[in-house]
Amino acid sequence: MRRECIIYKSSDIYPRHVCIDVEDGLDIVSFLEDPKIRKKFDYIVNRILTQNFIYYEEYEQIKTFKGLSEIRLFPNGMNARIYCKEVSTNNGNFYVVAAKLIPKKSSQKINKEIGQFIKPLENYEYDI
Amino acid sequence: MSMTFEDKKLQLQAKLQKWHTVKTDEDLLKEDEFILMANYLSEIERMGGEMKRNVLAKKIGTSASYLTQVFRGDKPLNFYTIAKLQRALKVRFSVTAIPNNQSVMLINAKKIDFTPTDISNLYSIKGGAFRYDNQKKQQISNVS
Repeated sequence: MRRECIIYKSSDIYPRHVCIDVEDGLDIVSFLEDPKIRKKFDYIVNRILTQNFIYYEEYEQIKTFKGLSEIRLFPNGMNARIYCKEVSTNNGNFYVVAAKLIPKKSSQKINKEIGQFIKPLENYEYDI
Repeated sequence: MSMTFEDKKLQLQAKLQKWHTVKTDEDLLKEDEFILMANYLSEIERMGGEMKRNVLAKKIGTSASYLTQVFRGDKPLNFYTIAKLQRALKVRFSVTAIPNNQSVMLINAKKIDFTPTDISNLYSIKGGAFRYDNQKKQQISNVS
């Protein structure tokens, strides 16, 4: 499934970029309008872009879904998730594309409903 | 009426552009502060391996919830805590400053065998440097 995304921020030190999916991006940015949530999002983005090892407790791969990862947001007792598609290109660049939002996740695990929600991301192909 | 793809794209671009331009110099400095902290935290997590957070918290005499707040960037990481974590994990941080346009890791942690507490076990080696090695006392003494 061909998709388009916009680069939100790129790393100064690694060939890494965090992007936002165009089709579903407005849901994500509306959620990030709250300055406290955006500050938290920016913190996670900066960690993804500047750490030697990109995965940590707020950004992890989802082992049961190919090429997918999740950003975990916990500001103000919130338990939100932004599901991402990871894309590597032949020229060595690595893109994390924020593609789906769940503003309130009720459990830590990925249940059947969420699984069905994020499953299509596996087939996303980005023109970058 | 639903938005077209092009409308969505334009609106998204405008929003992201605005977010980038409203950042003040103070905001950007704060971001740099958190990036520096994140580099230490990343190394601490890497060197901590499978160690549970409550175990690490106990080792440094704090609570697991405080450490969680630090790891999530909700509380600042101070150098006193870094020193305690360094000791608890038996690692040593090395810090390198480089020109802004070079791509290398700035902060690195390496495992050490133990933390010297008894300076009587420090042995002088050539060049004015000191080495601490409990196991090879005799061998190092011969070098000095």
